[in-house]
Amino acid sequence: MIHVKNIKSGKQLFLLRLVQDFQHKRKLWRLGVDWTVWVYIIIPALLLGVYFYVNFWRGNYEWAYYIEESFIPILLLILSMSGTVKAYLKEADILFVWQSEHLVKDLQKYSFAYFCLSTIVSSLVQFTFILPLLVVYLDWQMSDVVNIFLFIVVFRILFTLIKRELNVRLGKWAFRFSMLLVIGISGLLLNFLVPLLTDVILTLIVTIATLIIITLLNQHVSKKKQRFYREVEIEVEKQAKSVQLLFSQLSIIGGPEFLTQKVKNSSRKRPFLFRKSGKIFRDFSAKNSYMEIFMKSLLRNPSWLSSYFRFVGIGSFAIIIVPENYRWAVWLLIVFVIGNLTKTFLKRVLDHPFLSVVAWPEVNEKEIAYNCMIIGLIPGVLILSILYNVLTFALWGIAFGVVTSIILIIVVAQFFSTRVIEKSS
Amino acid sequence: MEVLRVNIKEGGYSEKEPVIENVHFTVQPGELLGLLGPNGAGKSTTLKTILGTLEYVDGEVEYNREKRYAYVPEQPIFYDELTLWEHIQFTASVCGLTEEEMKRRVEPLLDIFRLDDVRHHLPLTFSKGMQQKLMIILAFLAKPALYIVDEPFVGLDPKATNDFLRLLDEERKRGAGVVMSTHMLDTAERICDRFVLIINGQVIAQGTLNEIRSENGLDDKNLYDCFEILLEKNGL
Repeated sequence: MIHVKNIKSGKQLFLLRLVQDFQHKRKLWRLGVDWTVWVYIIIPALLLGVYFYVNFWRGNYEWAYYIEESFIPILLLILSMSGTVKAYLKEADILFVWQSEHLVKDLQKYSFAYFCLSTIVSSLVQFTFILPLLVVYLDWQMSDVVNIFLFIVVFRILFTLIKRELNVRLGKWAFRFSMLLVIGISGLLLNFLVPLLTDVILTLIVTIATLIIITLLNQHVSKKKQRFYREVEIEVEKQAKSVQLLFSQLSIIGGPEFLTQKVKNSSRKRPFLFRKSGKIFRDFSAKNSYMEIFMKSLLRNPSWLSSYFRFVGIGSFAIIIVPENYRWAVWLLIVFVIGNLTKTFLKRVLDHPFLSVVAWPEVNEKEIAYNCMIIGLIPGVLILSILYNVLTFALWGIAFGVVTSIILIIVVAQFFSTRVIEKSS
Repeated sequence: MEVLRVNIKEGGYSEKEPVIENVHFTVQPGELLGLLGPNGAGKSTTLKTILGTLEYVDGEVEYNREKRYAYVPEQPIFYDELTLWEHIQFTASVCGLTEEEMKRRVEPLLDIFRLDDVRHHLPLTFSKGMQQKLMIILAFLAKPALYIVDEPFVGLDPKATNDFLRLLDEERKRGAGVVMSTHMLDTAERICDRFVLIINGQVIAQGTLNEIRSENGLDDKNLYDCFEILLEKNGL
């Protein structure tokens, strides 16, 4: 255990921050994942994952044979975009740490070394997942895979370094536009290089050249004065984003309700949708207003909206890949999960402390909750039901899908809306 | 008849650890009651008890006829995803106002508090003062029988403070009662009709300034001095 009073070097400070970071993540995990989540979600998902991976290796998925080699550079680019360099700075460091140049420089040095190490590990994991695609379906040699792996590790480091430097130095929009440029150039580069990397000598030359660029860039970054508040802001934003993502996922799969509290602040002055506060419903009534705040909150919350459609996407994928006999069970399970997600979000809206600002005659909460649940369920249940029914009954499935959607939406809305009210009151 | 009658034997976050004890007071129509006390004395807990948001309460909080209040919290609260105007629309519809009535009431308020240009912005991006102004606008929009106000002056500029007090005065003339928790003793002395001084979760003095002075032998002292002396007497 490292104690704060013993901190004398940047290495110690870095280790302390790393331990704190792990402890923080472990706490969050333990907060949201109890045995029910293990039993009902994680273990079944792992078993399904293993089943899928084994079948992937066995070449059992017809669709994977249709994947073209030209897709690989795109896949590698997407994987490369996921990295982040943490500065391990905290806001309170402005009081003491920031005054000590060697502490800050050392912290920067060790953070970078740790980032390189974690990039190697995460790339190994990613390659393990895509290995069957490369070896079984695209017929690559293992030596080709090793070559690509070597290059991709250094490429990811370079890409992430550039991304971070642009994020720290540029304004929000300049950063976004410059990233589009960087992604475009990276895509062209990967598209050009990946087919050539079957040659070992060429791979080594390209890898060493990238390493030299990384070293020069890192030296340049280290010499420049860090922008303290921007670094901290990026750190907080990242942490808040990951915490919110984790919490929203955990709350969907059964974690405590308070995990749905918002942790990130937005800097957007006007919302994306309904920029002039336009009404959704013509009639001006309390019931419509409740439904309106539910719909607007959901539509304007990218984290929740992406969670919703991620679940619909994963559910659709699961319905396609599972054996026919189990398809109906997966369909109903995902509809239930979408119902639970909608309920959690609705509860967040109906339990909001803002509602204590004015106390007025009670509204019919049950009717409001039921209507909101119906609205929230429609897109997800419709997509999943039509997909399931089309796979089972071909074109007739569209009609069956609509009919079963209506029944499921009513049943699931009834089931969850009662629970929203029970817990809210 | 009183707008509010508070009779709390005990209240807190759990039965084992009550934060406030024996808090009894009333608010008459048109009266402004100042809830005073040092940090952590139990003022906000008392307000939460009145709002009915506290986990444990042994006692009663009675409203005159219907429970219709507007609450101005110390820390502004709002939906992150809704604009200022949408908060107004929601509050007005919940209070049963028509759209025309809402516009008639809110337009002058937006003008007074200079939030007209940001009506379609998200309050999340506002300064603390602007967020506080939004809370005040929502309260005045509702025109309730009772205002529950927690530290309203924090973050408000002097003009907004004066406008708030003027509007509050108009509401009192209409017959609305006000419970206000504050640390601004000079302002409280000027505007409050009666005071309730809470220390360590208990009421140690209440009444008009003259009543508090005479009961404690503090002739000619202002509210600030009375407050200081009563704190000292109670070991703080």
